[in-house]
Amino acid sequence: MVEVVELVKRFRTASRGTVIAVDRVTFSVGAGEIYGLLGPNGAGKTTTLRMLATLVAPDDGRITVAGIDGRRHPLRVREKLAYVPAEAGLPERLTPREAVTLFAAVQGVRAPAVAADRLLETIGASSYADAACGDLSTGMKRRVVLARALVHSPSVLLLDEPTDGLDVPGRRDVLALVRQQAQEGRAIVLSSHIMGEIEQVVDRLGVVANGRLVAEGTVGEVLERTSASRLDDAFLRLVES
Amino acid sequence: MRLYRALRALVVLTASTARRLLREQLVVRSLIWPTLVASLTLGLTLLVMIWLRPPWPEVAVAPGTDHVLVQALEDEGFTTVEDPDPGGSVRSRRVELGTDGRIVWIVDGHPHQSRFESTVRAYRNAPWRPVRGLEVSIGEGAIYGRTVCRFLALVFTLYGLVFGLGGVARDRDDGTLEAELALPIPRVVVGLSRWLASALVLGPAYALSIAVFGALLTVAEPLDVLLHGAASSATAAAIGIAVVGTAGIKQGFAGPFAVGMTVATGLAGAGAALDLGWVPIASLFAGGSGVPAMVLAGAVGVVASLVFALRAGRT
Repeated sequence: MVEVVELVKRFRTASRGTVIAVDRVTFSVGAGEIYGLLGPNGAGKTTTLRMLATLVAPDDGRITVAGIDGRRHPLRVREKLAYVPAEAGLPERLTPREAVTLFAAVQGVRAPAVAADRLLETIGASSYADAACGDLSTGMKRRVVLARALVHSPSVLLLDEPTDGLDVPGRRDVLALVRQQAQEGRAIVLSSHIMGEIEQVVDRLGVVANGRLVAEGTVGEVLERTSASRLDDAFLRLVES
Repeated sequence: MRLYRALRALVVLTASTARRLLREQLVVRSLIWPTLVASLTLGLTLLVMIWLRPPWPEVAVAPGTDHVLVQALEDEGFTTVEDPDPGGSVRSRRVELGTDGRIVWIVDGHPHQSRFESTVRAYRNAPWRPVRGLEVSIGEGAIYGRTVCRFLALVFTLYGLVFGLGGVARDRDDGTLEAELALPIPRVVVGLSRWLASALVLGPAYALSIAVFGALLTVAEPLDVLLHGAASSATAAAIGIAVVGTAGIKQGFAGPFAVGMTVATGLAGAGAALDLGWVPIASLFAGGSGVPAMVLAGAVGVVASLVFALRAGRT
């Protein structure tokens, strides 16, 4: 469903010159699979997701989403996926119903208002569907953002730090939603720096450090490779080496 | 199909952005400064007038003047002083108003001239002599009206820049812009919808301002005034969208804002110097028909949206 091959992204900065944010990263994610990008801050996780979402053009490498070349046909790729940035990304003055309906209308969903209402109910956000987004808690916003992302039934879901800023119940709810989406056949790529979250939810993971994919596999495979008993230890060994 | 989707997205996003701008009460806020300036100007003018108003004057009355007239003058607030030669006293400016019951002597232009003369005429039962109505020249009023409208248009130009630049920068910070850019529509649509929303909100707000001031001052050729102002605010919004680049509120907002201000003030200066009536913003100081400026503003909006799309990433 998602295939990333030798992906490279460089940024030019005034203070540090040219920085390689993503350095020949390769991985693939199948339908119904949850793939976790694990790495410290600044490792290149968000840049990788943004390239997948065709928000940033890669300098080199290949991205294929549902068989479509992301570099040649970005609009067609965007039809197939939904990207949820780390920030809430909800206009404060719109209500959840309006925000989801807006995206449904732009995505060409039939009867966008009805679709939005149904999805908000499914995702457990109908009780605050008419409140201003600016007045919602972080957990509520996350639900609405997920509803907005799912409104056109994408094949691929890209989630950047989906539980960032959430309390324990909020985190549990969001992760349950993510698992549910995978069970419905969606390929999911999520980034996180929270080990427990990655351990709980992903089928496979890639550890990113300094823009490079330093390890990949199931949680068990990564633990075995690093001879660690906990993912925290495995992560530290991989990142510090 | 793609064109239809892009057009539909343009309409939906424009309506949504305009709704947000209206809910943020930016229009109301945009009217606050002109209202404040107008209120302050009127208030200060009143204060100056009160301060400059001469004290209630003395009226020289000839001895033997009927006490009914003297009482009537005092009832009107004048202080009467008996004077054997009221006319001579006025001519020598010892007093500014004088009467013997038949004749009035007045220093020309005295602020209480009419009230004094009316009181004496009422006493004498002498009607005002019918004269040809004074022709009120609208030229002077129109100049004031034009000046006020220019000032308002400059304020709205600044708002346009803030709407265009600040709106994008804020939405970039909170992730709204990124979510929109990830939609399967050309990025130029995202820029264009923001520009259209700004123009659609600012234009009527400017029209409302002109209507308010038009009730107080003569606004000559109001349609052209409106078109020049609307073109200026729309162009400023376009400049904001074009120069914002990758800036957000938290980082690098001042640089693009300075660039936008430089371009806007440069255009205003060029209009004053070169009489560029067809260039938005510059046309505020050139005048003429507002249609060419409005058409060019539309073209600038499209170009700015393309620049936005190029700078925001790959389309």
